[in-house]
Amino acid sequence: MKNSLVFILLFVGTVIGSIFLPWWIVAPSALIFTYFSRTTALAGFFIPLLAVFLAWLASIFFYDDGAIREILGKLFQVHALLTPFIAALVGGLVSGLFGLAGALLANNRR
Amino acid sequence: MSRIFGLITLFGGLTFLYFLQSASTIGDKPLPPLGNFLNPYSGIWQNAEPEDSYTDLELASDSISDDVRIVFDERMVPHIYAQNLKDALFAQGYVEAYHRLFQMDLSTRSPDGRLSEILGENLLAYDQKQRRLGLSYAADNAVKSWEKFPELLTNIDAYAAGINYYINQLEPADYPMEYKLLDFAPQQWTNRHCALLLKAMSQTLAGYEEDVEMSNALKLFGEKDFKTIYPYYNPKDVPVIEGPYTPVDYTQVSAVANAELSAYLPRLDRPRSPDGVGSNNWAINGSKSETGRPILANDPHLPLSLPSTWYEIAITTPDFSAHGVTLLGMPGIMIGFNEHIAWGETNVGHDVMDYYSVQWTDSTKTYYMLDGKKTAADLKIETYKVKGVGEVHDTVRYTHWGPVVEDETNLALRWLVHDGAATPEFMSFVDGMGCTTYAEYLDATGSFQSPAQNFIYADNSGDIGLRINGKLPIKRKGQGVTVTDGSSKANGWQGFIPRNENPQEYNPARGYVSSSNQWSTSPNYPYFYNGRFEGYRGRMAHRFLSQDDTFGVAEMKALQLNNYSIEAEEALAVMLPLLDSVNRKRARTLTEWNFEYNAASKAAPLFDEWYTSFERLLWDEVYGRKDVDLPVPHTWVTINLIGKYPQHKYYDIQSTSVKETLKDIVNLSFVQVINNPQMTLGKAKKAYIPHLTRLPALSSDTLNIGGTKRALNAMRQTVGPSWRMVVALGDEPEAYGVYPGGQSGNPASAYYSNQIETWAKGSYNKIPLATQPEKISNPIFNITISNEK
Repeated sequence: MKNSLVFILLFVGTVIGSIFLPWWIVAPSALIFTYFSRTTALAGFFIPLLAVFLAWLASIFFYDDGAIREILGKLFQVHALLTPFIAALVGGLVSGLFGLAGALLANNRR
Repeated sequence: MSRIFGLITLFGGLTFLYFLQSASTIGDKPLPPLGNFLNPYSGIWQNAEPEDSYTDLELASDSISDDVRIVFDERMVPHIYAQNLKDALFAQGYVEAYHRLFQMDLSTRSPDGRLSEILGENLLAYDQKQRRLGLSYAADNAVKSWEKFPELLTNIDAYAAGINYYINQLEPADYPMEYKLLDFAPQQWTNRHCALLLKAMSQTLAGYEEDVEMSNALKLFGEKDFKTIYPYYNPKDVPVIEGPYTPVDYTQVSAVANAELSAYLPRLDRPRSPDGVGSNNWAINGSKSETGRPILANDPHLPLSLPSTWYEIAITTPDFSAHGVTLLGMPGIMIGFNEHIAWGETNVGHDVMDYYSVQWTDSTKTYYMLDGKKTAADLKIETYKVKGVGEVHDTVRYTHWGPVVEDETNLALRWLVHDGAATPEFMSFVDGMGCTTYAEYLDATGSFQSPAQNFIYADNSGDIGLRINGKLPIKRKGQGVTVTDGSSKANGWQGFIPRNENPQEYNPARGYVSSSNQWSTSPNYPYFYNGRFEGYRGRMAHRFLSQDDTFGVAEMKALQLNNYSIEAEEALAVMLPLLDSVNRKRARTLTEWNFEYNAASKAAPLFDEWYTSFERLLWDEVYGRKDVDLPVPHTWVTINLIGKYPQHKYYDIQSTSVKETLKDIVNLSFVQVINNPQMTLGKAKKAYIPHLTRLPALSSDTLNIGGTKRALNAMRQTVGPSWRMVVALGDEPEAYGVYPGGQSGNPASAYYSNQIETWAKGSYNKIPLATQPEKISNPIFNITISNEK
């Protein structure tokens, strides 16, 4: 339940918050949510990672009609379809790292 | 323990975040801050432009005096409807920035020597060369001279206000993707940016000379042979204006003092206009037209790029309704038509760029000798803010003649482009939009200074005309062909040709006017000039237009797409008979060739290879000198030489012990290439249209197209017809046009490169003159800008 809440808050917060705030807001958000929800280290890493990864992925598919994928694929010389996943993974990893930090710091508090 | 791991992870996260927020490089390729670039909320994904994203916009500005409506038609061409000229120019600035902001920005950074600010150290050397050529200095001079015309300047102020109105609306998420990729932000637009664009255009079109190379050739060959190998004029050429010329009260002054060379001049490494730049235009009057009214055609050949050099636009005010193309960053329409007239330009190509040798008094190079006096050079410190490096300084020495382009060569540059303008040049393209008669058009364009252009005109009352228009120096005979002695002011230009003595034609008896960058006049013209001229295309246009026949729009289009090469025709006429019997049998591809550079032709690339190989053997005196820069003789000189002289000392290959004949080198060069794999021209050419940043991801695919620089369809690999327009004048103009690109500068837009296929096929878009918004069928969206006051 606690993990689901963190996931939902981070997913919704990322989609809405990133419209007004800088993209890296996912980092402090993940840190704070996992710190106060006292998740395990494993959950502290993977839940923010998954939440932001999926939020970014959904946003990318919402905005892009395929043209940006094609351009990025050519720029980075990878298959165009991989590019949304690579981009989303960047956001996910930032969130996951800070989530893990939050969870580890919170475990110490406990 | 967990806290320590937590802190370590936090540190790792912060480090990762820092990396994602910082620009980096892979090898020598810069990478943008990946977090900013890849996130979906402000990164590149925001540049997606799906078809359903175009919605009507209602804006307000206090910079306009009345409401303006902009309707984007089905090809995304903006049609501006304004109540006065200044509001129209404000809207023009707005729509150009809306579609092409990055292109406008980059195009001004190149002449200003500021590319290294955004692209890093790799571009520093290029920036330094640009500043040392004095382009930035030239833009400053232009702006200073414009300030003398405050009333005219309000037009460009309105245009700049429109650009800035768009820029000020932008959030970082809205920046064109190239800004995100290169990690910089748009800058405010000023009049100086417009001046820089004019100077960039001048560099492309009036930025070529071979002074160093010709000086070396004069030293190598001696005066007699120099005149044979690098003659002044091709007698077969058909000049733009055949004469008779306006009688002038001028006698050519004796030849100028060439700089004495004790040794060959070292290589002068300077950016010059690329090979293949040029254009065609012609206009036929009612006597040669199927419609009984004039038809005008114009196709400028420029380095092709994505986004395209040109931007199509239509402007309507209560005084006129005009449609055509403009260069981004310049108000008005450069090539286009209105309800009454059509107009266009080709490049004149006179040499307005001369190098002078400077005698420094000592090795500090702060004083030089001029008219026997010790004269101080003006030392200008140039500052470059190089991305990732910081500030770099360079001292440029300005002399009486102009800047010293390379300190090592001691050559100073006198370039017309440095001079301030008599009036703001851009007004030619602003006022030209509203002209209805030739007299008005001459008046509107009369102050245009540089780069000199062949301004062509046709109207629906039956008049046609062409004027060689621009500021052109009066030179002594032979002046500026080689490096000039810079120790005396008397060796400078003798003033400027009065504008009414520039050659021109108005309703000539032959029924047409035409220019294709050939010589402006025959040698009978009283003033001496030299330059970079291309005779074959002009001869082809005359061969076609002088036929006793009438032509319609279809023939005018076909002529623009004509791939016939007179160069190949004349070269093969003298080369093929010299092949021996064995080689002649192997040359069937060439003997059966119709001299058309079509994409499917195998003969065209074979001829090019053979001729190149032959030329290298014939002119081994030039090609063989790796230590000295020398000019390659013109093709027509080579063809005339082999047609006229079966025996000549230059046929012998210097590096061999035997004495070769003309027949020997023709056969030897043929054998060198005949066994190479034979490709079609389309495959050999590998034509494509590069993005301005040269990133393949944003460039076009390879195009299977024909053409050659000596044919009217002067398509090379990346230089060629950048806009093709044909206008049949009548009660209503019937116009067609196309360019290789699209209206949008956004690589993710459906309108980024959508016209390339049409252009490559040789098709045209029909362009109706929409004098009212209701006449536009299938508009994509509208922008309304209302007066905020």
